[in-house]
Amino acid sequence: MKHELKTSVKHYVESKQLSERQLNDLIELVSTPKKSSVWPRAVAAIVVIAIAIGFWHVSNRDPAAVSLLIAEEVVHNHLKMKPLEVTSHSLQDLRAYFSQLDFPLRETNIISGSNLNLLGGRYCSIQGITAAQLRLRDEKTGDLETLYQAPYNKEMFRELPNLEQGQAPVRHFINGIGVDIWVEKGILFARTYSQI
Amino acid sequence: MDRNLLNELFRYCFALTGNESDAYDLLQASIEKYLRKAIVSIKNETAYLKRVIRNQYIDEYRKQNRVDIEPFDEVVTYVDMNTKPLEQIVASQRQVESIWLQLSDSEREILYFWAVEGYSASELASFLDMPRGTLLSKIHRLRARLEENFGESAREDVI
Repeated sequence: MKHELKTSVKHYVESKQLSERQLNDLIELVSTPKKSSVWPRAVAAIVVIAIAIGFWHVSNRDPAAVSLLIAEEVVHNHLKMKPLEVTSHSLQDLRAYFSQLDFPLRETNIISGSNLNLLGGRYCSIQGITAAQLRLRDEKTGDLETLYQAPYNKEMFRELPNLEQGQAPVRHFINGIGVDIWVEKGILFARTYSQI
Repeated sequence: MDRNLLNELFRYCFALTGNESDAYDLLQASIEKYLRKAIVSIKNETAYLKRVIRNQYIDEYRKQNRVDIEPFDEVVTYVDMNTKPLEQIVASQRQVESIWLQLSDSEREILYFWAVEGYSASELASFLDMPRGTLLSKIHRLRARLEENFGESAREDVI
């Protein structure tokens, strides 16, 4: 029997449901607190060791090499354009979403007063440090740009230009994308430029 | 998270994966990921969970080259239309079932949000974080594909 496509799709999809057993398993998964076992602690120990090795490795490199590594990672993430986890034009809304960061999202003087309009963001990492990846649109050109914010750790990221000390951001070009990196208000910022 | 919500999320997983077995795996993995994040306050849990599912699907199934959801920047020619072309198509539930697995995951996702959730093209573009032009081109191609499969009888006389 033929109906409008909309009705037929709705009926077909809504005919699908979880079995009683699957439902019970999922309800148990949702309601049961995670049992502690040896594995999470073992994994945590490995992660700590890996971070320590990475930290030692990075802290022994010169600042230019570290900023280049950051730029490469930033461009890689920028080009992926993964779906946003939260969409909003308001930094205030995004602050509420990025509650798992060790710092509040901050405005930067470089973006303030520009044509860039905030679209949303997603969690990501820079050199293993949890960071916020914010997507912006240049309202003049329509280009999408990415702005990263991560807690600035001098030992980890070495010496980077500090905007509040009158220093200009360090700029790298990776695969045709420009990346500015700087420190402001104790936060590491990295911003992509599609057109320079 | 009650039974109704779990079934609703399962159906979205079914739309993405095309089959019930993968849908259950995707739902389970997404819920585990959601629980690990343990975010305290979420305004719209259902919408948030669907985003978690979508991200999980893209991350997980991309490894197997089974995802054809374009990330963002597909080059398209803008065509002025909306979901109306789909509303002119008639088909039986059996026909839908027969073509379901032949559709791409993004086509099934569009059908799901349009038919089951009642999204407009604008709402869908917003949720999928996709330029409107890209979405409308997809709808246009989807309509052509459905008409090709369902034959002449797919088109309703009333426009």
